[in-house]
Amino acid sequence: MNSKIQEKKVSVIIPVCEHASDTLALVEEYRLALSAITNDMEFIYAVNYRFQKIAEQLEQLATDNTDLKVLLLSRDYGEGTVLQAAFEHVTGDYVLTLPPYKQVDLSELPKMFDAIDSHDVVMARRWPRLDSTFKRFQTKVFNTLIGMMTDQKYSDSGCGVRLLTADVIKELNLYGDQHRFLHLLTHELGFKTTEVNLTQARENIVRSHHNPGTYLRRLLDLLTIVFLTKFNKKPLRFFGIIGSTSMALGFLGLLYMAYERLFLGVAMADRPLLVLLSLFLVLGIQLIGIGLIGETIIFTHAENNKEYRIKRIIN
Amino acid sequence: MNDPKISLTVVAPLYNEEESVTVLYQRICQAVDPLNQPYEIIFVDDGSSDSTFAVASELATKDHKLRVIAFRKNYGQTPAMAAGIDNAKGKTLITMDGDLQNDPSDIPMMVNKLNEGYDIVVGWRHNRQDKLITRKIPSMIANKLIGAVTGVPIRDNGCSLKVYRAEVMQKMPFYNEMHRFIPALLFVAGSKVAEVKVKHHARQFGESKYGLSRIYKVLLDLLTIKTIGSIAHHPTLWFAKLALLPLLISFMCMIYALIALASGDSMLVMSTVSLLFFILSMFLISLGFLGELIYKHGSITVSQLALLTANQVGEKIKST
Repeated sequence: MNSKIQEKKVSVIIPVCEHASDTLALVEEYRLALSAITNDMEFIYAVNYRFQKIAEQLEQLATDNTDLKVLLLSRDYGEGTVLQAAFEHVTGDYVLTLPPYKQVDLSELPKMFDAIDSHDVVMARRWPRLDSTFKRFQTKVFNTLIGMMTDQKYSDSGCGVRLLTADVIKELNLYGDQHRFLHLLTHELGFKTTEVNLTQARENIVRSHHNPGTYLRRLLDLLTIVFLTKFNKKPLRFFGIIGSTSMALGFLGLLYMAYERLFLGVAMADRPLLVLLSLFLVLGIQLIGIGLIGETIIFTHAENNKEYRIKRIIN
Repeated sequence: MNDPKISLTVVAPLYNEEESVTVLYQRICQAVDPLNQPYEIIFVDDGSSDSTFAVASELATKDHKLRVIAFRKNYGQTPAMAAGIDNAKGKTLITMDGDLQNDPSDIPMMVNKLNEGYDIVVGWRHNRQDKLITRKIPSMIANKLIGAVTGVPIRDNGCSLKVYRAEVMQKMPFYNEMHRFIPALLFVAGSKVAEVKVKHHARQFGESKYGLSRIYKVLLDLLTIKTIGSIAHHPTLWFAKLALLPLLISFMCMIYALIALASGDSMLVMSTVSLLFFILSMFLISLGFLGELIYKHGSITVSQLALLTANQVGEKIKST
């Protein structure tokens, strides 16, 4: 058992966003599991508006438990935003996010706290995983994709069990569905991040499947994150390379058409190719224009937006 | 940040330089001590995975004029220099490589040069000890490009060994791989720039950390620098000028299409092309307004922008 943690305060954040199981029983279960780690803890429930009922139940519970805080949000937000709202209320040294349903075997939680000693962020991976092959395949594909696009290899970024130090949440600014990419953002900020295997809870096995729209949204989120982390300070490197390719294609094509018209006598005005090439040219210029606007945004904020994060200064 | 007690600050970024740190520290001390001016040394550990930080902080416990800044992870050379410059207390800043390729013994000469009345003294590695294909040629092309675009004939923009007046430097926006453009930007802004020959050594320890893909980055960065300055002056006007050509093309195509219509030919292709370019010109004008907003809410002051967009006055660079 990690004795250092015993004297520290752990803030448990439970975001209620999409579905939730019997809340009151779960709080007790979480409390019991954590009492093996520390006695000083607080619970922060951040609840989306449509789960008002849960918030009311919790508020009742909070009258007897001073260590329980309930935030009811004014509408439904993505889990990233909900977590960020809860971060503002954290008073502990460590922040443990837990889903509003049982996702992992709680008796294995101490493993997370063992790993936080040498890291700033510990992600849980549901392993051994009891889900159907399809679900496992889904996780595998999504995480492999993230790995390919960012060279950050983690195997279960969707798991809601994460442990962070208080320093990390001071610098995070999550919104939308960015909770899935928390590890990429913390890495970008220079924090040491690792992954720990926790057995999946039997209660977590669900038969339901996502609708196709969800997959599309995830993919868009991923592209956003890749853009935000890889081209953070250099939007023109991203837009410029696509834009100049498209522009060059259009320009050279048009040049060739003009050559054909002038020297070979091929008519130009009635060829649909002219539209396509003009389109490439226009698109290219637009992309570069957007890249330049992006650069001006970075430039005008360079002063208060330092690119580096200092760990320590000596003398 | 400036501290009247300190007149010189030497900044050196370190990335996996455990073998070099001690030697570098000793050589800097040897070179700067004879100047008899109070100075400090800032080592910026750029997220090294070896014991660079341990070695450097060990040195710092014995010598309080050495300060060590440790990054959480590897961010690159420019951010490392930026961190050193942001935390510098001296009135004169000296930046140099942390890998012993620059020779600290050049520092006194460069500081004296600065005191002759320059704002920045740039090192020129006239006898460069690097691989031809992967280092010297890309760097040559980069320097030619920067010279052609900015109109500043500095021969070695990439040399890290530079001496600046702190008040000039601390006004510059410094991010990405901007360190390459600092002399050019300062020169365009009317600062007095001098270029002096410096010694250059082949790497003694470790491996070179920068590769060939730099040219395309330099190209895009140049485009950024060139346009940010011009956009800043008057975003709407800048983009409106840009929008003029597509608008013209659009009108010409439309006239062509109308003539075709009158003579009974197909007008579909030409009118589509006309609309496309019309949209482009509207798009560019909108970007102009957007730029106006960005500069209005940004944190860079007008005087700093003037610094970047000032006409190219100032005298020719003096070299020795």
